[in-house]
Amino acid sequence: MRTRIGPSDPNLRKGPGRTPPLWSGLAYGARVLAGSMIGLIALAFVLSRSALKPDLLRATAHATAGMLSILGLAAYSEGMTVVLGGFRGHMILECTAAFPIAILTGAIVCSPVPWRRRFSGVVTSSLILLAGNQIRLTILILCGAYLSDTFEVLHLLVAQALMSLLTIWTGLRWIVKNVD
Amino acid sequence: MLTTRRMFSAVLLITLFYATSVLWATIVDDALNLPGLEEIKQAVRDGKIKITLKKIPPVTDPNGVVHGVAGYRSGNDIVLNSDVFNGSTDSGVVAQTIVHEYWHWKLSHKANAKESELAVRKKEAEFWKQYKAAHPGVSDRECDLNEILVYENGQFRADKVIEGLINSAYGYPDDPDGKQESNCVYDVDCSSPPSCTLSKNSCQSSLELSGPHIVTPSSASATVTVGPPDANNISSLIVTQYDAEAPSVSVAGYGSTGTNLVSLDTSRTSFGFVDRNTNKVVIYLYSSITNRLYNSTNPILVRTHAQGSYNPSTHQLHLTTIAVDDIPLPNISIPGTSLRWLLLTALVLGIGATLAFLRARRALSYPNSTPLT
Repeated sequence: MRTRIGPSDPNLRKGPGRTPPLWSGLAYGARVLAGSMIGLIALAFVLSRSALKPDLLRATAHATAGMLSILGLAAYSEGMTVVLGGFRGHMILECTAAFPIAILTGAIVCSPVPWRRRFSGVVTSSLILLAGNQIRLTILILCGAYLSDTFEVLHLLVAQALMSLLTIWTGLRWIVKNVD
Repeated sequence: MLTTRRMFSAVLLITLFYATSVLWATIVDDALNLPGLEEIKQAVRDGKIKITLKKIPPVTDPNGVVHGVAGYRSGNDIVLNSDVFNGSTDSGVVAQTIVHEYWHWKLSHKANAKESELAVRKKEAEFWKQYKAAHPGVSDRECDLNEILVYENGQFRADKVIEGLINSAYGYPDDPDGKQESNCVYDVDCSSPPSCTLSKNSCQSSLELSGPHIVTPSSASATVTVGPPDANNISSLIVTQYDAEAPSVSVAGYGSTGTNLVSLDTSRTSFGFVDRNTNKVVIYLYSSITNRLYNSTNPILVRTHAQGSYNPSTHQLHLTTIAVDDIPLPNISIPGTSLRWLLLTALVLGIGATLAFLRARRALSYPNSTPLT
């Protein structure tokens, strides 16, 4: 059960002189946008100086191959590459869920709610995005192997749009539930 | 609970994104009005673009695989790798590179057009389709470049070169039977400008236009000498003998032999594996040229792989079987595209947060209004 401020809260009815809701809303939107951008930049900065990047790509390739194997397909990973039939999908950083997670982390962390809720929001959102991204990669590799004609459009337009939608949906869902 | 209002919002959001995607794609497609060869030639004549030749070092991807670079665009310059004339490749690389980089240049200068790999590929494919349609009977590449390469003042005279190279990519229009030889290997000597001497080394027969296709595996063989690793654990691989009817197989360059991976640096993207336990070698050569032969509209790369044995005492690979099949393009890195999506995501999230915040405040300020959740 989430906690909400009751309508009788005096802070909401300060009368003349209080910050207009429009400006408060815009300020919050700007904070979310700024937090997202800071999250992106921070991730890019960290990864550019981190030895974890190859491990992250290998783990993503391995997880994707694993999901395909669960579907009964003879897929395997070679380092950062997923192989299914004659198709070889090479993982790059944009294939991972790292950037969407960075956006949401930035947006959630800069929201004015207790830290416990921020932390649980980051964890839950990250799990949702990780799962969504794995499904996206699995479908893309399947399309690459069996529907190669559609691969580029699916890869560059549809899949990215859906991942973007998932990120926005997850973020807004958290904001609506937690930010008053 | 899924209310009508929420469903409406979801549909609205999805529609908005779909419309954005379509609009985006339309903007990218906008520049598909192809002016054709004449515009490229004119751009060169007008000095808008310049075609130069340079030695371009290979690049190494995060996997440690070394890739050869056929060319790139730098401002208004299209720079071709001098290695593409280096005997280990065929002329089509040059034509493809010029057209490809031209579209990068064109899109980068066109208002409302997005310079993305996807857009360039679309235009490139359309370009070749139109070129082929304008030259009925042309089915394949023509070997002989001798009379069309003119080297002047440190660069090729582009009007001649482009026309010649594009002809070389799909054959001369007056080719009576449309069956030009293809996959030729040249020796080029540009040591005494203004002219380059180009001699045809060998040509193989045309590829089939559909794959997968196995190319004379029994008749192909090659011997490759593996040099000792240098300080960076990089060994040079040099073809000492090659005798094959298979297309596009040329092995020369460098390889990392620190593990079982041998990365071959040729003008084509290529790599290979040597199993030190069994002394077997598998070499993969990605040819973006044969790609076009297979399918001009889809980004299909052709995988050429060779198998043979490695003799550790003589450091020689002996390739005994060579086959070609087509595979879809692996994951393409498209600079900017993902970044645009991420920025769009952050922006929409920010706007959504503003609206959600305002709605929440409105619900609190006016308790009798419809609650948010």
